[in-house]
Formats: sequence, structure tokens, C-alpha cells
Amino acid sequence: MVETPTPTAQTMGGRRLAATAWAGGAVAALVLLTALVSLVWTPHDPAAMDVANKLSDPTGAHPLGTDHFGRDVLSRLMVGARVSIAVSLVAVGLGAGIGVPLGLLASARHGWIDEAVMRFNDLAFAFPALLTAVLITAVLGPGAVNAILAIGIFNIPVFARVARGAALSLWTRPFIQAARLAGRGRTRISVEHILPNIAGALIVQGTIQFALAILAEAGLSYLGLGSQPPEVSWGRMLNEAQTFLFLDPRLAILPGLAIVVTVLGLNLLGDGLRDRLDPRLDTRRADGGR
Amino acid sequence: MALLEVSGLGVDVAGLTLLDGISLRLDRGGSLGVVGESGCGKSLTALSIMGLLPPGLRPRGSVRLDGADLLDADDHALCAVRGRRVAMVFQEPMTALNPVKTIGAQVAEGPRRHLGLSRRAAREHARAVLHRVGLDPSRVSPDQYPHELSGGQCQRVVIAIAVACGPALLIADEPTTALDVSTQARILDLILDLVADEGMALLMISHDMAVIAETVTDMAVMYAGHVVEAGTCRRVLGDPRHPYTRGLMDAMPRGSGRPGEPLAAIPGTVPPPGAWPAGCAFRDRCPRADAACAIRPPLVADADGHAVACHRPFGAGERS
Amino acid sequence: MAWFIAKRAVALALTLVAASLVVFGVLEVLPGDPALLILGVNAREDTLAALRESMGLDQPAHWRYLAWIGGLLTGQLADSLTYDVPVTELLVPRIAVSLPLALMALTLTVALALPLGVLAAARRGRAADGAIMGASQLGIAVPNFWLGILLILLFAVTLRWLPSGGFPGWEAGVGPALAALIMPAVALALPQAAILARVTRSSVLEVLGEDYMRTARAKGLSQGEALWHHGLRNALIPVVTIMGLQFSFLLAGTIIIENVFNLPGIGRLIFQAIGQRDIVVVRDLVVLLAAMVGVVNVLVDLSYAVLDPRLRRGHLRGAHG
Repeated sequence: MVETPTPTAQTMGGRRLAATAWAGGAVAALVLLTALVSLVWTPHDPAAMDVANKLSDPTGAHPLGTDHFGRDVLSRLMVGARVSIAVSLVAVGLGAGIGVPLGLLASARHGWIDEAVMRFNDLAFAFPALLTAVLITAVLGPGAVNAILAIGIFNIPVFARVARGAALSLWTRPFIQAARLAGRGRTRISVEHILPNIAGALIVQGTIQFALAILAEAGLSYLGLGSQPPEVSWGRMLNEAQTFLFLDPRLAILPGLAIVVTVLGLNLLGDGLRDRLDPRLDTRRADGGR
Repeated sequence: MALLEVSGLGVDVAGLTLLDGISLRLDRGGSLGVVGESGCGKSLTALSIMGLLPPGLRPRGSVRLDGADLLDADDHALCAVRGRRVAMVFQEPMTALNPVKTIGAQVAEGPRRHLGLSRRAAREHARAVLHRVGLDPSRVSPDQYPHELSGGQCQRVVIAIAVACGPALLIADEPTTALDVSTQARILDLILDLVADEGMALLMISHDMAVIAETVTDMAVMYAGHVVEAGTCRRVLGDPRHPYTRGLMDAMPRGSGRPGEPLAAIPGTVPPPGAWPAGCAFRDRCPRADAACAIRPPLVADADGHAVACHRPFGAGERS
Repeated sequence: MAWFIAKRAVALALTLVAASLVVFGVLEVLPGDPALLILGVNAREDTLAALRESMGLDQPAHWRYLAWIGGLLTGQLADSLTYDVPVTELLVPRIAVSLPLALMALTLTVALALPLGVLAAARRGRAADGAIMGASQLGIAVPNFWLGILLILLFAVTLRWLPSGGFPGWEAGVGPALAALIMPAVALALPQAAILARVTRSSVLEVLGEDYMRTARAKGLSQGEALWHHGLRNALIPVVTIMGLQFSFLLAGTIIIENVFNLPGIGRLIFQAIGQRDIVVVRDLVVLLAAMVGVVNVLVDLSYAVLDPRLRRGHLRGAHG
């Protein structure tokens, strides 16, 4: 929801970094796969209650045990992944879908459009995003769609800034100037030449924003402002589990672990991609002096 | 015993040789110039002597100062030598100074550490040294910051830092390259003046033959990490034997001689480490090269100590 | 310097005006009639009208906006719709919880991140660096509210060293009050510290490559001395920028952390007020938080000038990008 600086670990040689990026990507893919599988199959009906069997420890039938209503925790985590990913994906897509064109526009036409985009940026960064997200969901009412809006709005300036910054350096390059001399319009150049060349930077930022969106969605759901029951979400599971913290800590640990693993995987993937795709790192100097 | 005796110095990084077989000798109060194009290893030689090679770069051979080998010394011992016995003036005065510290404080650090001065005494000492290098306290205060000074004034501060503890050896690595022409001459005069006054030995590193000719008595010409010709300036400049030295001299009056610019008289540029041809590293650019040059020529000195590493050197007095 | 501060103050005032306009506008379109909220749906129409008139709700929007701002400037805050006391009375005891919490969290963040970030940079590529960077990668991925739950689990449920939530009030003594705030502060701080440690590390690495560090070493300073006397101050400039941003994250983080630990602070108050449609409380709190963020931003700008002499005397150049 807010841009976090995630400097890459330059210490690690290309090979080791690539390994962590692969591991991160694999974890993220596994979570995505789980979410997809949950669309067609879960071990149990995630909403099916079995009060006689509530707060059960892991068994053969319930590999991760049951919750306070006797619902299968594994099934609920799988379905929760679906909500987390769907909300985050759409929110980041929304942010990129509006932010990238804005950034491209700002870089293609200087003047007031550029100025307006940058001021909007400053304003959005100056204010705590979570507070505004809480305000937005309060005004519009809690729910998955409004959570998407609240998170997506904060992705717009991030993508606008990345797209503008990457595009600005391209406009001075010979091949772009050649296209301009050939009579191509700014819009057409933006779409045909600029966009493909900044795709790398956008993918890197998208991965990191995706991780941040997962955290934001979990936070809103924990506060009860995200998706509403009977929909399942990791944040909401944590909220409910806190009541039973003294009885069964397992319920509070598992959804949190799911969040951490997903975010960690995405961040590792993003860092690895950045090293591969972002040319700015090449200009970094080696350090001198022992 | 010589003040500085470098023998068989080499520097490697990750299996790549950057510097090899460098031998230099400098007596107390003497002066030695090292000349060559950018990338020939001049600065690496200086940093090896200071023990300040960037991480990952490994030196070998020996660097003896007053008989003690600096390459064997641990960092603690080196810290006692740096700034006290050997000091260095750097190429870029603007970046060599810390932007957030006053110039007085930057000069005072060395004396406080090496001369055991109190804070107040070190500050007074710094004031005097700054005055000595031409920064009159009534015009340039020790409490000013580097960004408030001109490039030439900054270089005077860098020189003040170097000479503050009265080192026996002053290494000047392209001390005037970043400055404008009129300032260059004044800075060189200042260095020569200080060296004469304090009885310091001077190791002058430059790409510019004119600077070397003006400032030192002995010189070594480096190419691609090796010394290719060495001797007194009178002999080397008066009767250059190595084709590379001749090329450098032919290039002298023309152009700015900025590092990285191809020499007018020699086609091509210095090959990067790892791309050195086998045998004589200069043979790809040398007009006199033949089959014999596929074997690296040894550095051989004549009776006067004029040494040259070339299979096809110019003869004494031969015109190119 | 005075000119610089004056310029920043004007910019801050303009930001606050913008923030107040936005929050006022947003709350204008919020469904719900405050008078109906107070009196309930069974209230008689003439009672409602009388209340609306006494609350000034019959006035046009721009007039009500000016009245609100005037109240803010003179310290005469309107009454809360749900608590029936002036917002000031709600604020003071809650600030006494949230401000110490945010400051504790910020202190912890800095105390952890700076030494670890510097250590990682100094030991670049070695085991300590790998361990610190690995831990920070993990720290960034942990949601602060889950960290809070884990802390409760460990220190309140299992070890029984600390209370699981609530706040005894400062009148109960500094010890119990701090005991109630330490876990929330840690939960807020650790993820932020993970981010700040990474920023510190890359900033120090950048500085280690600077020429003036080599000059310092050439004077005879050891690596550690050169880093301490010459590197840190230069490396701090980007670190302070991120710290400024983090303060606003910490403030926002109190909304969620005060819910986890059941603390009667500003974050919980604003969350409840939003839920109860108490627009009087919400708008005052939003402007208050915006003011705090703005003041911190001014402090960050001032600290640049303290750290870097090139940025003094008003001529601000982007020396450090």
C-alpha cells in the first residue's frame, strides 16, 4: 500500500541471489496454486461447522486441526489464500492500470500534467496510507471490493512515479528520438517503444507492491474492514483466533505464517528480479577502503 | 638503506593480474616520478604502498619502508605508518574531502592521532599547516567547509592533511589533473616547496611527462601493469629507449593529455587487464614489434642505471 | 535558517488546509445524519430540527467549515457526537498513550536498525551481513499485528511476564504503564527496523566507496574510526529521510496495534469514531495526525541542515539526490 525501500542484497553473488529468487518465486507460485486448487477442491467445506469437534489438534482428517466452530483450518487457509491473492492482485492491477498511463503521460508531456501528477504523488506519500484506507472503507463500508479500492488507490502514485522515472530517461535515447523524427505521435511512442522498455522496472515494482498489498489486506481484514463473513481471509482468521489465544495458539500462528511465507516469497522474487531487470544497479560503485 | 624499496610488487584480483613485477627505489629526500596512460597501474602502485587497495585486490612482492615490509604488516601497524611516515595527495580534491566536516577539523585529525596533540593544540597546528599551504586564516577560515572553497583551495587542504605530521614520503597521485591550468602550476610549486623545506621524499604520479620533468629527478614509465623504462629523468627524457616512452613524449606538446584520451603518436589505447597480449604488452600498438616480442622482455639496466624492457629498443641517440 | 523554517511552516500550513478540506469534503458525503445518530430513530422531527440548529447543521457547508477551523485554531473543539464531551477531553488522555507508544517504537527502531545496518555494511558479504539481511528480509514480511499476537502468546500467555493488553494509566505508575506499552512498541518497531536496517546498510556501503573515506584512511584512521568519524554523518541523510516516513507509518500503525493490545489511544479512538460515524472526532483527529506528520517532515528537513553544511543558509541543493 505504501512504497517500501527494499534495497537488494548486493553482497550475494549473482548465483546465490538467483537461488533465493527462485525459492521465493516457487513459494509464491505454490501459494497461487493453492488458491487456484481451492476453487475446485478443499479437504473439507471451509464453512462446515462441527461443534463437537471444535479446537481439535491436527489429526488425519484435519491435518491442521479445527477452529472454534470445528471448521477445518487447512481448508480455510486455502480459501483465505484465494481472497488475499484476489484482493491484492486486483488492487495492484488497479494501481498499475491507472498509475502507469499517468506516469507515461507525465513523462511524455511536461508542464502542468507532470506537475499535477507529481504533486498528487507527494500528497499521497505524505499521509499515512493505512489511516486513509480505514477512512475509505469506513465511508464506503467494509468489504472486499472497498478494500481493493483502498489499497489500489495507494498503488497509483507508486506506479506513476516508477513509470515516469523510467520513461523520462528513455525519451532522450536515440531510438526514441528517431521515432519522433519519423513523425510518430507521443502516445504511440509511449505505447510501442517506452512501455516495453520499462516493463522490467514495472514487473519488479509490481512484485513488491503485491507483497505490500497482501500485508495491507491482512491488516484491513484483521480490523474487520476487509472481506466479510462468510468469506474467509487470513486477517480475519487472526482476529477471531485472538479470542482463543489462551485456549489454542495454533489458530493464531498458522494464518500469520501463511502471510509471512507469501510476503517473504514475493519479496525474494522481487529482489531477484530487480537484480536481473533493473539496470540502475549496474552503476553502483564497488566500495573502497578496507 | 633506501627510504622506500618496492620489489616485485604485483596486484591480483579474482585470478586477474593488474600489476606485476614493479620495482621502485626512493632514497630519503629523493624524488621519483611514475608516468603512464590512465589504466597502466600507476594509482594501484600508490595505493599498494599505502596499503589502501580496494577490497578483493591482493598485493604480492614487497614494499619496504625504512626496511620494514608494509605488505606483511597488520592494519594496526599500517595505521601508525599512514599519515605519519607516508602520506598521500589525491587526484580529486572536491571528493577527497569530507563535505560535512570543517577543513580545520580534517587537517587536525592526523596530528591529534600521530603527534599526540590535545584537541586545542591540534587545532592550532592545523591552522598553522593551512597557513603554510597558502590558506591564510584571515581569508580562508579553518572553520569553513569544503564546498565553500575553490578546487585549488581544496587541493591545498588535501596537501595540508598529507603534510600535517611531517611524513618522510609524500605520494602525489595526479595532484593537478582535476585543476585548471593556472592553478596546476601553483599547486606543483607548493608541493615542490614543501618537499624541499621538510626534506620529504616525493613519489609523483602523473600521466603528464611535463609534470614529471618539472618535479622529480628519477622516473619510471609504466605500461599495462609493468615498468617498461626507468632511470634518471635526464637519461629517460633525454634518450628514451622504449617505443612507448617515445610515443608518450611525442604526444606531449599536443592535446590536453587527459587520461583516457588516445595518444596522438601511438594508435590504440591501453588494453584492460586480462586483454594484455602475451609477451610484450605493448606489441599490438608498437611500430617496431616483431616475432621476438612474443616473449616478455626483461627490464635490463645499463651501467648508468637506465633500464628498459624491450627487445627492439631505440639505440642511444636514435631519432624515431 | 529563519527563512528556511518560515518557508517550511507555510508549506505545512498549506498541507494542513488541504488535508482539512479533504476530510471535511469526504465526511460531507458520508451517509448519516448526526442529529439522528444522537437522538435515535424514534426522535421527533422538531427535536431533531432543534438539535441540528444548535449544532449548526442547518448552516451552509462553507460556513460550517470555517466555524470548525476557527474552533481548531482557538482550541475550542466541538463536542463528540457519541461521548458528549469536547474532543479535547477525549484527546488528552489518549495522546498520553499513543505518543509515548510511537516514541518508544521509533526509539527501538533506530536503536536496532542503525547498529545492525552499519555492522552489516562493515561486514559486507560475511556471515554477520548474511544473518542480519536474512533477518531483515523476514522482518519486512511479518505483519505487525501478527507479531503483536505472537508477543502476547509468548510473554503474556506462556511466560506470564507482561499483561496481554489494556492500559493501567500513568497514574498507576511508570512501571506498569511502560510494561503495558513495551510489547506494542516492539510489535510496531521490528518490521520498521527491518526496513531501516536495509536502508542504513546500503547507505553506509555507498559512503564506504567515497573518496573522503580513503583520505581518512590515508591519515591513519582505522576502518572503524573512519566509519565513525567520517562515514556515519554522511550515511545518515538518506536514513533520516526514511525515518521521517516511518514516523507516519508508526502513527498509522497505532490504529491496528492499539486494537491488538486493547490500548485506549488515538488510533483506537479514530477507528471507533469512524465506526460510530462520529464525524466531529474523526475530522479533528485526521487534522491532528496530519499536523504531526507535517511537523515531523519539517524536523526531517531541519535535520538535513544540521547533518550537511551544504544544505544550510537556505540554498537547498539536492546534494544527496
